[in-house]
Amino acid sequence: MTLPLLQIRDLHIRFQKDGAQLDAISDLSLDIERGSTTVVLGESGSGKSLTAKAVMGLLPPGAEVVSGSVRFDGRELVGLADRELRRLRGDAIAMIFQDALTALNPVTPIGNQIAEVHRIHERISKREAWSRAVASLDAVRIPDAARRAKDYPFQFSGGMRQRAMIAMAITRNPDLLIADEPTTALDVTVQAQILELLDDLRAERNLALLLITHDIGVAAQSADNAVVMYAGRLAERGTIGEILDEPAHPYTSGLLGSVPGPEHRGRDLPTIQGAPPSLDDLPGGCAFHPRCALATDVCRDRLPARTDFTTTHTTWCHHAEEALDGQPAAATV
Amino acid sequence: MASPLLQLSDVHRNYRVRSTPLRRHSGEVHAVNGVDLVVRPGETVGIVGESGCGKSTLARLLVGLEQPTSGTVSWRGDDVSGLNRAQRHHFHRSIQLVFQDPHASLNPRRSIRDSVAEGILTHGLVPRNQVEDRVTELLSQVGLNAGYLHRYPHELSGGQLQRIGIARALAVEPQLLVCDEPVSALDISIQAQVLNLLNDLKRELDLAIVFIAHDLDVVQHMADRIVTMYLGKVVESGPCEEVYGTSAHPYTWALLSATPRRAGSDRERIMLQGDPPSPVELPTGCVFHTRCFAARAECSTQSPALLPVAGATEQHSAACHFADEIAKSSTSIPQSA
Repeated sequence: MTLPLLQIRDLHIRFQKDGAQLDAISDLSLDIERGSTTVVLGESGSGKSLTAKAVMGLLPPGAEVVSGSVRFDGRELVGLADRELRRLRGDAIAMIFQDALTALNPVTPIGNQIAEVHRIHERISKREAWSRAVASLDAVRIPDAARRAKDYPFQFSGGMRQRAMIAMAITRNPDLLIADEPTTALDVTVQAQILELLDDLRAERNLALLLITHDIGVAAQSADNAVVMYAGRLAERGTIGEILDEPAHPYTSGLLGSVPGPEHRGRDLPTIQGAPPSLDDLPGGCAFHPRCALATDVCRDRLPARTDFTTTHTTWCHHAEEALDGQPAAATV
Repeated sequence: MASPLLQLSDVHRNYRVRSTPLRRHSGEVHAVNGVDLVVRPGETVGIVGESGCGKSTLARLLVGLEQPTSGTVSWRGDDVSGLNRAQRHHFHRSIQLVFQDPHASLNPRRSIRDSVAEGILTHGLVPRNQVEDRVTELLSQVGLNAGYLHRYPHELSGGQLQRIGIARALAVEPQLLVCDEPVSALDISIQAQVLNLLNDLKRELDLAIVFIAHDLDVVQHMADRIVTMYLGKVVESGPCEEVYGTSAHPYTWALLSATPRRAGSDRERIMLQGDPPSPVELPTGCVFHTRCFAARAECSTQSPALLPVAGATEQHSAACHFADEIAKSSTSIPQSA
């Protein structure tokens, strides 16, 4: 077996806030293969965006990698010099963000913004960079790309802006594309187009796609593999089928159960009681225990060890067997 | 059938767009473009559509925050624009709005107690010395204890704030609650809690609810009847199961198939091209024809009326020249099977 394109091992990221040290991400391990889509699922504050930023080497001020490793194509990214990181970013690893309007420069034509990416990474003529930019816009199915490349972001609709941002991300033919909630700000009909585009690009270019989302429907539709994060730790990981059909963590089951479906009509939705904890007040033991129906003393005292069900399906729960048996998830209340 | 609480007849709401040095075109935005809507006591009407379809303008028209450019809004049979001061006061009490973003809709410098008590005091609903008891009671109705009385919005989470937003709306004992995207800013696990709360309150207080959201699964869970809007127009309305099961308008069908689902649907998946057009320059004929997969020549010239769907219950109507055909081909094995 070849090495995965991206290999995160035991990543630990800490925040300094008001003199306190907060563990934003702990013991995170994750492999991403070329040509596959991995979804990171979680609620706000679960550390899913921070994971993406760590891979990009774009941690916010005050956050630092305490330990662990992030290997990309065999190369260690943790501790890599800024210059080296900059060379990788936009070239081998690219990222798209939720809000295309704030991510694009409002006073520069779209085509110039994409061409600029090439001129930063390579000594090529302006003309050559421009024609590559047009080709990228064409690749993301912007009609009449040569003309639209001269437009400014405000002349694009929401869906087109998101396409333009994707064009900018793929223009250097990266191996890994990270998409942080790429469709959250879009309408569903446009979201469907963008998800399809991302999947086409993944297949055409053998991209590894790391998709961060809170939307289980989006995950179900797009992912090959999924990881579920809670309070900065992995709760569960597996193929998307394993996560959706045989969740073995009470949090995963709870999340899946809270999505309204036809089976809930006229009845209360199953809920997870309480709210996600904030990082400066993480519960001891398993961070999910105050909200968990299966919690016992051991959950309050000790972090759960990993339980492997298959080579792909792993969960971090003291009561993993019980959680798995509690199927279907929707029947937990 | 119970007489309507609230009725909209051919309501239009236009906004003028002036030309400025940076924006050359001027014209009118047809935010709401001839909407008929009925809300009966105790029912939940779901309104779905994409951004710019007029959902939020409709919400503001319903509660009287906006006046229609033309058409009438009637409350229990009386035209709202003709109400006298006392009647208007009562109308505003009877219908309340729950906003999308509870962080933005609560005054950050007022305690929870003061925010919730405001409507009670304005309408003089209980003697001053009992206000605090009433606020405590309202908080417990939305699942919060009296410990929150003297807290401020920044100390609360999004889910708790949305509960306060609901308590604030309930404070004046309304008969109709208009919820504009009430859970779209919340995490999934919290979203379910707030949806359950709204349904509990609806039962306990016999409330009617207008539930506006872009998430079709959420609306399906909440609504008895559903209304699909596109560019300011109602394109389909009817009982929830029928509209979801046998969509008679291509737009509803497209919305449903675009919604990402855990389990794949059996019906054919429709992918729309492009974004909705600008509400300043509405397409001629059927407003949807520019994105419609079933459009034919007459769609670009003739605007279809909202008419009952053949073979469906009388409340199921669609504004499409080919509604009956669409209803036949969109029918699938029911999702609940």
